[in-house]
Amino acid sequence: MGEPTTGTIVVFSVLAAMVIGGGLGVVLLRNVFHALVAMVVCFLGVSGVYFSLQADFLAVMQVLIYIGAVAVVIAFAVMLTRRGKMSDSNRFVDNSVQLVLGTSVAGGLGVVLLGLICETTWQIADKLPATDLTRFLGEAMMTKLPIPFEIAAVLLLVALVGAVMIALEEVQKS
Amino acid sequence: MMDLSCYLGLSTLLFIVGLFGALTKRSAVVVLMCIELMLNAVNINLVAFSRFLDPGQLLGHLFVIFTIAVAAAEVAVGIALVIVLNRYRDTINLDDFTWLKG
Repeated sequence: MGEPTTGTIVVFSVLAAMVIGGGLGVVLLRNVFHALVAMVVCFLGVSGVYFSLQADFLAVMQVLIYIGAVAVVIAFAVMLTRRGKMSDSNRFVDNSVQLVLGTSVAGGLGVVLLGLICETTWQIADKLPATDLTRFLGEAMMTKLPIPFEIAAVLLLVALVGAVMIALEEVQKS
Repeated sequence: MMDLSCYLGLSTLLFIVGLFGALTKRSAVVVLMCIELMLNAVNINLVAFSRFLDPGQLLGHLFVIFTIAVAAAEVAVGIALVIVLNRYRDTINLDDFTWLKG
């Protein structure tokens, strides 16, 4: 792989700051809409990470699906369900036992995982990735994995029809 | 090219931030957002492993495509549930949903 140059280190640091800062923003900002914007920043950072790993198709999909669809759907959910003051809408639970337990579970898992990552030696392959990525993925979907592809399509259809049916329940009753 | 460990550490940090939020926030919408953060952390892991350990096969990329599809389905159903719960109880505070409590 070779030693990382200063440029790649700078780019990676900026992307990592976007990802972690966005994630922290989702959890720590008091206004739920600001948290949503922080989540979009985090998703953009993840997209950049995909670019730095030479996964260009996934990076574009990330922007399209997560920022274009998921973030917009969540924005609608916030607007449809919000009561009370916006400036204090993203609160932690009042139960301090739950706060302590949540913090210790997350922190403990983080320590264990980071320790394991530092311990393990990986067998890095020295090959270069396929250049024609989108074509490769499309061919793999259609030749090697047609069944999972169809199942994913049916799952999406069923989930979206189900979501509409759940949300429409009240209208059918009245 | 950065090390594999850098990418794994980044995704671990994002995952624990998401896990912390999912365990300690009170609004159902924010918990869904935190679950999306955790799914993204897993996706970074899959792409990094695919790039560093198995660059010829790109199976990690295929996994990520399916994860993204499932995550989109999950967020659609989750938001529909949140909207219906909000309609019945007039709140999205997760501590107020105690129908199953005897």
